[in-house]
Amino acid sequence: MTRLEPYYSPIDPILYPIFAFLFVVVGLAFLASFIVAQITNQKSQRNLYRELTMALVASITLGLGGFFVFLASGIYV
Amino acid sequence: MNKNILLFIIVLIGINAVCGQWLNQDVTRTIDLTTQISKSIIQIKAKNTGSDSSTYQFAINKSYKASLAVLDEQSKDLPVRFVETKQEFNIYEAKFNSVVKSGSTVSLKVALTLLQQMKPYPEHISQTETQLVTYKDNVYFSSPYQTETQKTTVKVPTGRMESFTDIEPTQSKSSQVIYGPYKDVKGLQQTEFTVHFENNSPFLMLNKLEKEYEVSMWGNLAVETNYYFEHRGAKLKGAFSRLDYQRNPSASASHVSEIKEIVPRDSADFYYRDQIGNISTSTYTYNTNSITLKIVPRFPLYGGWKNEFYTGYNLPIDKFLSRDLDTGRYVLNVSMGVNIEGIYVGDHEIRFVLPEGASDIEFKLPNQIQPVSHRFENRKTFLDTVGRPVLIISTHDTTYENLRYVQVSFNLSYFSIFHEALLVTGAVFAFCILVMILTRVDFSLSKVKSN
Repeated sequence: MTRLEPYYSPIDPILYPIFAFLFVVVGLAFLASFIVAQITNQKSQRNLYRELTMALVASITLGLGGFFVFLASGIYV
Repeated sequence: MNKNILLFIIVLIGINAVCGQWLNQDVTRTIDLTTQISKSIIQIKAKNTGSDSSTYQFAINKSYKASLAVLDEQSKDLPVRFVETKQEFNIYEAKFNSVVKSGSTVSLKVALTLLQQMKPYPEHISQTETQLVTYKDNVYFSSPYQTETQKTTVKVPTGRMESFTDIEPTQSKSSQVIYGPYKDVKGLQQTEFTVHFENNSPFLMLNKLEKEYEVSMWGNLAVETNYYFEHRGAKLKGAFSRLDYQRNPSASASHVSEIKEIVPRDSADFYYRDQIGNISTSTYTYNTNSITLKIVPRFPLYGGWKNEFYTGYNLPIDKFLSRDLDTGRYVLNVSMGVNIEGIYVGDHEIRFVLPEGASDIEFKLPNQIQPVSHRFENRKTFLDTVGRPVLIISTHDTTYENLRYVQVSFNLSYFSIFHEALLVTGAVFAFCILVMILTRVDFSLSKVKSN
């Protein structure tokens, strides 16, 4: 006899619109700060590790935001 | 002398092969002709007269389009497979769960549906005429074995019966014809009877049905159904009068103006479209365990008319997808066809769009006698890299199978579930890197002298 257990989505679909909104807002803020820092910083002030960290944080938040926008709008990837 | 014994043995084997090793002691058939398909319930009491056996054979005329289900005493569905063609019969074999000892008896219940066995006669009727049909079938229970006693009851929808074949002993009551009891009928004997009666039930069939399930590991099961309907009743004579139809739609009894489909209770986000675009004439009502989706086509369907469209809805994944705790495989359990009363399907295709990265795909269909074929395709949709595997299962002539379930199982790594999220993140990160490179590259045409 096989033992079966219902499969649930990693995140409850009810939360998708909230997640989409939060991650997109926070993600855009991080991306904006990253781009501002990129453009205004002088060559002498550059720090590659700091920039990469900012880029990573921005891409994770905005990436998840975009992903949840897909799910919330009914495009179940 | 020796030769004679050998010959005797050969003859004995020959007789055994022809008669089989079962004896039908009593067979009761009830043929329900109230809808467009003939639904027979056959109760069989059979005795094993040969050696111990675990199989029992049935015969169906090879010109019939049939669908067969065999239930044992515990009402359990037995697997049935095609064996061979003998004379004008196809022989099918049901396999018991346990071996039946020689000399013991078994009771079987067979649900046999014959498709397209009822033919409209006259073939053409005007808009307001009632529909008359003829039904032909074997008056004896088609079996490769001998049958001791048998009786057949034919039920027709109304009391109006034009004629029926009289094969002694035959009785007719208001809406019933009873053939038999007949005694000691040999195996594979065929004597056809014809009943000519009024039947105004919709003769609506699906020439083709395409049902697609799209599995998302993020909580959704999208269902889309493509219907290719045809009204197989008596063809409409003359032109269609919209005025007559609007004045009294019930005057033409055999036409179809709406189709009711039962869908799961958790269905949401319905749509109903065809090639032109969205059709707004569909409603759904909630029942205790299901939803009735009422589809009103753009035009009423009369005999010989066709219509095609598609509908779709979403289902929550947790009711249909399970995980096997022992093997870690995912198992999808969904209905095989459409739950429309009295419908039957010509070409039946079921498509499963599985998540990207699904492997070792297997499927299990309910027991049925029609051949099944399958193939795989690849489909690329949103955020796909290598494409999703699509399993396409094709079969034909299905009726009650539509209400039953098909299982598809597959392996999927945990990483594949998050694959798409990582893809979007990666895209944003690539953009950031691009910005970093662009700010570092000097695009100025003339060198600015630094102070």
